[in-house]
Amino acid sequence: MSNTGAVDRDQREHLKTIRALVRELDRAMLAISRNRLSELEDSVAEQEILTARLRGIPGAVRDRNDMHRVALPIDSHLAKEVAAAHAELQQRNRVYEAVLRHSGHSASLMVSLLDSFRGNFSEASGSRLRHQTWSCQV
Amino acid sequence: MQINSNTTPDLLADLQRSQASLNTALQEVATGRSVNVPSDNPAASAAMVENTIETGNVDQYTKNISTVLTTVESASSALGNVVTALTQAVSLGTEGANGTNSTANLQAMATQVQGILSTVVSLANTSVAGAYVFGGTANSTPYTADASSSTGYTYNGNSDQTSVAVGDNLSIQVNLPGSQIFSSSSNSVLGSLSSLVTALQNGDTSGIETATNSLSSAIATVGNQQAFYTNAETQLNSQETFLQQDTVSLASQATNLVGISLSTAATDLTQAETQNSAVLAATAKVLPDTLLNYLQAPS
Amino acid sequence: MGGLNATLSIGMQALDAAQGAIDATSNNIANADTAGYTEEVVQFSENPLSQSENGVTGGGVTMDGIQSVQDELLDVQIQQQTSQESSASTESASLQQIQTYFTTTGTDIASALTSFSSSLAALSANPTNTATQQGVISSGKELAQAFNTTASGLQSAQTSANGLVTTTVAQINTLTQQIAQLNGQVGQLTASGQNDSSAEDQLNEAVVQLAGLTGVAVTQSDGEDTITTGNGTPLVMGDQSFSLQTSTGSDGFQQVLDSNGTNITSTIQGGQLGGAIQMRDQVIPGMLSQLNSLASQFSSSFNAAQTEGLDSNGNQGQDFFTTSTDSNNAAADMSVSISDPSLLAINSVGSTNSNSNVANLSAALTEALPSNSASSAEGTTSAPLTASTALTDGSVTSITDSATGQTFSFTAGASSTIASLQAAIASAVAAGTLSAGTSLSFNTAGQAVISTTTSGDTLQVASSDSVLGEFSSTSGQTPAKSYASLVFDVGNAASNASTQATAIGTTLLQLTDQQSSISGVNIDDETANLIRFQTAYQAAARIVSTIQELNTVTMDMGSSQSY
Repeated sequence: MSNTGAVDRDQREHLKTIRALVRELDRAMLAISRNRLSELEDSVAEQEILTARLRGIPGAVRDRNDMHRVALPIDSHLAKEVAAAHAELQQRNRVYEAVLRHSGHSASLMVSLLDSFRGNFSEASGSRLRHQTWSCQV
Repeated sequence: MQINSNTTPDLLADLQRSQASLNTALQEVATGRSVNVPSDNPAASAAMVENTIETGNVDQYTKNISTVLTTVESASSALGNVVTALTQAVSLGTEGANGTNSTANLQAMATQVQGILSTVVSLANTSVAGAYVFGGTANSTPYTADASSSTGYTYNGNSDQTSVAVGDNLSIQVNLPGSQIFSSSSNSVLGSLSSLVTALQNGDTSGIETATNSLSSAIATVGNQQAFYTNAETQLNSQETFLQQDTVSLASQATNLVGISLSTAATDLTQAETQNSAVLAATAKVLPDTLLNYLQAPS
Repeated sequence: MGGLNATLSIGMQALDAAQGAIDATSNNIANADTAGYTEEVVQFSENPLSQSENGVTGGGVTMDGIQSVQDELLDVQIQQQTSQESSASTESASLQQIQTYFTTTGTDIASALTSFSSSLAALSANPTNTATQQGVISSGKELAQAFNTTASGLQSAQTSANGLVTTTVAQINTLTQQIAQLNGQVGQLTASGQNDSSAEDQLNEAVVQLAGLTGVAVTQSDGEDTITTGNGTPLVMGDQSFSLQTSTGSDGFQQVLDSNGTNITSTIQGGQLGGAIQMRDQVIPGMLSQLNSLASQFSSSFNAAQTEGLDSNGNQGQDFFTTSTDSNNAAADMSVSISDPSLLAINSVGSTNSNSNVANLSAALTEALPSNSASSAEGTTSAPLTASTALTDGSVTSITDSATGQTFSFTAGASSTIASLQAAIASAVAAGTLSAGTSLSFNTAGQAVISTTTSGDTLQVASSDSVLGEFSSTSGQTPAKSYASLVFDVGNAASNASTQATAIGTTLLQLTDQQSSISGVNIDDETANLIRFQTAYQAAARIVSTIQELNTVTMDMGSSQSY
């Protein structure tokens, strides 16, 4: 069938996209651990592009299948690779979610602290400045 | 912004990460599986428990069918031959009862019917791979000669029925005991045959008629019993087809759950090795030699 | 936030600032390699204009304390995350060990169930054959063995966790003593007005280490560190430390006590100690309970199928499995009680002899396990009993105090629950028909325990047959499914712990990076920076959701069966 070529091409593209997304999640987590904001922002932008691409694939498959009135077969070897890559993506995503949660919490605390500093105060003198009693609303 | 001069924790963390990836990739290639412990994919592992048990069952059910199918086919075929033999006996009996036969003719017929009786007995003693088809679950020859018996034969089998498991919650009865087919109290095939022999030998016309009528109805009964076996055969065959499909879909499910294509595993391994070398090289530039000596390079 | 002391004279501030700068510089040089050393940067800036009802007051040059307050916040974050990471790592390590017993190795329960199931199917094709009969007995033994091994694996993980409790408590005590000492040093230096940043750094480092051992709450006032556990048990107050103790509990495991001897085991969270206690007292007992429940329910079910039939000798079938009278060892003690193949109950009782009792034996595997099983053992539950666990009609009719012989009757109706049984017992005690102090409660394994205040005996609950029976909640699953659920629980717990540990490890790196580098020059810039981070996190979080949704969407591709 001449269209299996197109199907396989799509699947390979699918596979590449999933793997690229896994790499981007790793890149983002590394950026967070090194506190590199620009790198994180770049990675998130890439992730948006990749996820949009992945979201569009089932629609494209359905469209093609509708045209041919039948579900075109996928090479089983390729299908297995896609399944494995997808499982890896989901696993990575769970770690990513936890990192975002914890780091986001720290960032919120820091923002609240700084917000409370925008008010007026001056410190007590003395050299033990590292230990002050402060509070802020979180 | 001051540059963070303390890069060691980052590098060590990187190294640990890349070593872990390398180990995973090595394991994948070695085992051909991407799920080695439940935490790799808990849902898949749970599903694999049931898949494994079901696959084992399906294998056994398939073996059971194949064992039993031979027996059932043999039984069906034997009974078919019994019907043929009985039909022959009936036509002899009908002829013998018409009152036009000489004693010598009747004697000859008696001998023929005696021959049919022996044939039927040996059909009743059909065995497949050393196991008797019509003996219930007993291991001894179903019918042996016994002068004291009215039929001349005694039944040594039992009346146990065997139901063979060919699916979860699906068992198929695969035997009828010989006593039910050949020597039942209501319609004994052997009894009728030996009565016919006796009646022919004695020139007892009414006896011949009685025996012949019994044999006619016996043909119908044996026919039903043959139908039992052909029915069992049909059920077994269709279950066999179903199990074949089941085997394929279980295998496919298993591969989807835990399998990994070797080429993916190999690619992962190459990538992991490359990355690991790069991280090691970067680390070497920063860490003093002594520390580097403690880092194990992948073999 | 209210203003801190805003009335110091300008002159004093200037002097202190100059002195501070000199001290900070010499500290920088001397301590470049000490772990935990944080560089003090002295910043000179105009005081922000104070706004008050009386108008604007100006300020003079002062040390900008923002950095140090931020660092304090970072310290707290690092302590908390260290506790969580350490606890998750401890659990993760334990679960990695545990899950090997649930991996398909050939000797695990899944493999053994497979063999046992197949051997019964083979038996049905050839019931009177000694070899197929022997096959059932052998695979039955392997199954019992697999249960034994898995149970002992869980128990040894529990023992390891227990050992970790002991060693961690010792480590905690050593550390709190050090911290108290450092507290004292720092306190003295503060009082004499000296710069004490190196002692402070050591102190901070020690507190982070402590946080790795157990969750802590740190407060500072008047220069004194007060450290308690998350639940308020004091560990260090100023220069005084309070030691934790251990003592052997009734279950043979080490309980953690505070310095007054009060048992604080269940209040400890976070850190290595919290993780070890969580594994030992919650996670592993839950798994053992499921395992024991499966062992005892399956044994009962199979034995019942045996006793329904006749063996090859024409006698009623005997029990095939024996399991312990102690429900906590049902899996560990499971064994096969027959070795003679002729004792398999292959024949069914009835007018037509058939071998269809083999079908009954197989059904023990393919059908849902029964909910209430009568046995002479105390029960275990697949799911822990709660007050709302239903009592099936007629399942419990009397409770007998084995010590006194006193009997209490209770009729379970359609809507009976354990709560109603509890209420009935309470009424009976109030009315005097049951000993005062009798109560129905639950132990950690979720078993119903009836106790009196005097002896604390565990009373057996009698079933309607007057056979000492068990409370068991409805299993409703086949043995295979029941075991599969357990595998999922183990795998999921291990995966979650590992995910947590990895993720928090990443954020800890980030926090340490923040601690050892100096961020923005002024508040506005720095706030803007952090808000940019927050925006990035939020965008990333949306992507996380999208990826999770892809899980179900990919099904359409026909290329995977995702879970």
